[in-house]
This record gives sequence, structure tokens and C-alpha cells, in this order.
Amino acid sequence: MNGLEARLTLERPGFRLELAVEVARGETVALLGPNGAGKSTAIAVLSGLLAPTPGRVVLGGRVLDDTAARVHVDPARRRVGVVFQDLQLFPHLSVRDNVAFAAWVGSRSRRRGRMRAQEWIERFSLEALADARPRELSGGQAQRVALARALASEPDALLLDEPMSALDVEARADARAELAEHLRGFDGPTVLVTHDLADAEALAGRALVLEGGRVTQAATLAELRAAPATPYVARLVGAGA
Amino acid sequence: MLASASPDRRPRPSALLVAVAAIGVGVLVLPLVALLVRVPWPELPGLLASGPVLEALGLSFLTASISTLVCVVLGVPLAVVLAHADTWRTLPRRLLRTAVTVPLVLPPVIGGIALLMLFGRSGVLGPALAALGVGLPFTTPAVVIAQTFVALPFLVFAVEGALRGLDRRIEQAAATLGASRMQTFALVTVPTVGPAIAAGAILCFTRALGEFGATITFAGSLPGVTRTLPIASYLALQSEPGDAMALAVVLLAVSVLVLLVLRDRWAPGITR
Repeated sequence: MNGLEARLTLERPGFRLELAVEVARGETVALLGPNGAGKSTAIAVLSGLLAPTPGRVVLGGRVLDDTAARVHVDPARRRVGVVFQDLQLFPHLSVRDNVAFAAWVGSRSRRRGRMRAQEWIERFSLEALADARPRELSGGQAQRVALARALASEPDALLLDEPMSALDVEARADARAELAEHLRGFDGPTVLVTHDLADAEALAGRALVLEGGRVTQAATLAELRAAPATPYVARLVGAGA
Repeated sequence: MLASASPDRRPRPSALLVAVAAIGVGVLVLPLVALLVRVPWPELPGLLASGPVLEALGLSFLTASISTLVCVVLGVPLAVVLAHADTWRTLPRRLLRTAVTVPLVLPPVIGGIALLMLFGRSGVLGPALAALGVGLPFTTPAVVIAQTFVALPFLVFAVEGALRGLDRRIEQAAATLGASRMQTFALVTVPTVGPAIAAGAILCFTRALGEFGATITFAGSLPGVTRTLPIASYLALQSEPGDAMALAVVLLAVSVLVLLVLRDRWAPGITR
């Protein structure tokens, strides 16, 4: 398959993450779980910020991690886009330069970066905000910029770590619809980390439930609802009903 | 911080404490008030325009600017290394931190003697420098070296503090967007701690401008070459007290200006 295949463990003092996940091109898989389950750690390993101990990550046929073969591709060369939990927009750069950042460092030219970013500024309806600084943006606008910045790096895969967490409840529904539309336009595999069942239902077809560093259920969202495998999943689908 | 978090908890200081504190304020403020009282204000413009005063002014601002630049160039990478030294073994980490701290606590005259022992004619590097035809002591570059020696820690600690407060994930975000480590440093880290670099540079400049002991020991007091503002002011006190006052007012004005420019966000605790 051409998507993302990961089979990894990550050993930390007092914590062990074990994860096997396959995501096809154009598919979004949700990684659900309570706080401390290892969701963000999984994102850190998939994006190359942490090396698995041991593990193997393959993306579109490219081996990104293979501890047996001592392969570890660092984040800058993985072509994996990340929307971080608190977005991590560059505070000193305008919206335009945030979106242009990947093309800027790739071409070593701020001007060329801006030219290539223009398409993304338009696609995300950011023209009016292009010269604003991140601190001037609302939560929903900042989230849109973070997604545009990640997609503008033309990644082979997209990782979204709680992308809605900065938004209030009312803004979430709109943001979800918008995110779903942008994900439809992205043809790589997407992993969405969330602890909100509504996010998963709106954006993903399948879900992995991560509890205490282990996958406790892997199923479609309909199956999760019909047959929750653990008390956590039962509470999750109960609360969402 | 604590006081503003719970303003009612802290008991009001007793009258005795307030009285002692008032003496403390007097110790800090009265000398400066006295200086301002005795300055011959009407003659000040003329004094400032006089040859020796102008010469010292120009030399001081030139050397302090150069040493501030040197401090930024050397100090920012040093601050980065220091901020990452937590992963080192204890001994090298403490040695490095001590080396950076020493100029802050060392009497500047001793710093000047140490610089002579390194660069002087009979110093450790003296013969090698002489062979190259370079004689540093008692030259304008010696002034810059002395100022850099005493001012560098201010830049390093200001920037190191900001780097420690920096969320490392913003650098990780840059990496996931394809930035190399040098690009991340230049395009994200440095601009993000830019205000701290500016604050550190201003502190450096002030410290360099006021430098006396290390300069007079290592660079001497040659008019127009190494006689900086504080040295000229000290020497003028004997013969031309008016000149001394004029120079003192300039230094005082620069210090006050620095306090005004350094706002809370740049150097919390200094200007609160």
C-alpha cells in the first residue's frame, strides 16, 4: 500500500507506547483516547521528533524509521505535516510568512516562498489576514493558518494533534466542517488525534482507541458505537449520543 | 509576582522598616541629587562642546558600540550552548557557568590585570602577538577588549533566560516544515528571543560605557585613544571640575534613558 504504515514502540521511564497503524492515501484515521494515553507521543514518533525504540515507519514506500536497519529520517526530511495541539504559529512572522515558511526554507528565498504561498492563502481565504500577526487572530483563524502552513509544505502525510482544542464549543462545528473540506482535498494519509468523538465522526472513517499506551480497540466509528470494547469507549460513545 | 497575586496577605511593613528603607533610598538617590544640584547648567553646552569632553564622548560611544556588537556576536551562541548545557556532566557545566559569571563579580581592575597577563608584552600571548607586529595594550582595541570582558555576561544571561523560557515545540514546528537546524535557529529561535537580545545589548552598552577599572589598567588613559568618558571624568575632577560634571551628566542621562527604554517585557525585574 502507498499510505502510512507504522509499527512502533516507545519506551519512556514509567511509560510504554505500543502502536500499529495503517492509513491509506486519502484516508483519515482518528486516534482517540484519554489524556496521558500516549496520543501526542505517537504524533511525536510519526513526525520524527522522537525515534521509536524499536519500530518501523513507512510512508508512501519510503522507510522513515527502521530501528533494525538503523534508519531514522529527521523531521525536516520526512515530508510529514503537523498541526500541533497549541498550533505553534511563529509569533514574529505574518500569516503570509507562516504559510510561506516551508517554501521559504525549501527555496532559501523569502520572496519565492511568498509566491508559492499565495495559492494557499487564497485556498484558505486568508487574504484579509495575510499581513496580521498570529496574536491578532481568533482561535478559529489561527487554526486555519496552522492547517494552511502544514499543507503548504506539501507533505506526504498529515498529523493533526487535537486541532480543535484551542476553540470554544460554538466555533468547533464550523471549524470541523471546514477541516473536513480541506482534508477531502488532501490525498495523503491523515492521522487525527482527539479525545472528542464528534471530531472523529466528522473527520475520520476509522478510529484507534489508545489507553495507557496500548490500542484497546480498532474499529469503524459505527462499530465503536455498537460495541465499545472498554469502559472508556462506552463512556465516550455514551456521552456523544 | 507573589505580592500581586495576594495583595492582602502581606502585612504592612513596620515604621522601623520604613525608616531604614528611607535611609536606603537616601543612600541611592542623594548623591545623584547632589550631582544634579552642583552641575553648572548654564555652562553645560559649552563644556560638552569643548575638545577633551567631545573627544572622550566620541571615543566612548565608538568603543561601547563595537564591544556591544562583539558581545552579541559571541554572546548569543554562548547563551545557546549554556541553555543546552543541562544535558552535560555536572563539572563542565559548572565550569562554563562560572567562567561566564566571573566578570560579573571580579573587580574590574583585576580583570584589567588579567587581560595584561594575557595580551601584555610579557603576557602569555604577548610574544606571539609581538611577532605578528601586534601590540594590544594601551590601544583603542584594548578598550574594546576590556569592555567586552566585563559586558559579555549581561548579554549571555539575558539571552539564556529567554531561551530557557522558549517553547521548544516552536522549533520542532519549524523542523516539521523542512527547516534545517541553522534555518530554525536563524529564522525562528533568534527572532523569537529578539527582545531579550536587544535588552541584553542595551545592558552591555551601558556597562561598556561605564567601564573604568579594566580599561585604565589594560588600556591606560591616552587622550583620544583610550581615555573614555568615565576615565576622563575622573581625571578632570582634579583640574576641570566643570568638565567632570558635564561628562557625569552625560553618563547619568544615558543610564536613565536605558531604564526608560527597557520595559518590563524586555527585562522584568529591572524596570518593574
